[in-house]
Amino acid sequence: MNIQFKKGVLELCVLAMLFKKDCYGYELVNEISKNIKISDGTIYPLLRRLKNEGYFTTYLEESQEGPPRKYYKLTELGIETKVQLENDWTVFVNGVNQIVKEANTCE
Amino acid sequence: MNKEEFMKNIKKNLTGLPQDEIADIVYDYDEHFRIGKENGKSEEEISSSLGNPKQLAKMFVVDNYLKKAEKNSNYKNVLRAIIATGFLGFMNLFLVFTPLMVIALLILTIFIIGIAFVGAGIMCILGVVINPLINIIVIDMNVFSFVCFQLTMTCIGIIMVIGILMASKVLSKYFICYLKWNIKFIKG
Repeated sequence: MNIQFKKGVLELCVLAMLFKKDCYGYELVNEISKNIKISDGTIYPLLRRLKNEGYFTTYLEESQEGPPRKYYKLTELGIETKVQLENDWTVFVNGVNQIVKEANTCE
Repeated sequence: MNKEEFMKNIKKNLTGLPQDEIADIVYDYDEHFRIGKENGKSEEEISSSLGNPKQLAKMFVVDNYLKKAEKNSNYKNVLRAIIATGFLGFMNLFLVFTPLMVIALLILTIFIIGIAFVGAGIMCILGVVINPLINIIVIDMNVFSFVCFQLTMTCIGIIMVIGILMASKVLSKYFICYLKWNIKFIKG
């Protein structure tokens, strides 16, 4: 899969997942890599960067299995950004699909 | 590699970052290894899906420099941010340093012209003043208008120098935005 596409949309993927529920790092990595082939480790610099931009806050929560886990939670700004990015993405994908469809029907 | 090697490698390549940030980053990967093992994965498997620790460390370092440069856009911070971003990967190198060279050349040229105007102006005025004292030959024209012309040159020169210094501050802010776009979208 094209690497350029991937880098750009990872932010949207992370925000979308956190919109549904607060997650811890491993959870995010796991879910995303189920659908897109990524280098797992790159999620963490991304999370750090997005946290610095104010898109989420973090908190520790006790877990039964062992030491507390660090959870990520969207802020207001994070939610706004998620909606924005999602719209951009939908418009973009529809546009591309349209072009591809027309190209394939005009024989 | 196993967990210990991975952590050692990434810690080594994170030097330069503040201690609390390094600790935080290490905590995250530590947690990742831990949960991965809980889920039945081996350290080798986990480390191989995480990727190259040196490359990962570079990403953290670049983000850190960019954050610093955004907070305080002095030349040292901006330069560090530019170099770190440029060396993320080949595409980054090209896309960062090419526009940088062009802009730097432009700034330098205007700066030099400005200095030259200032210098020329001062030298000529000095020449007019000193001439009666040590009898050097000077251009034969109306002395008053000549002095005014040179004063104007000097002032224009000063304005150019100050202007370009202010402009480069603004430019570096825009360049930082460009760098952030660069690390977001260009393969590192």
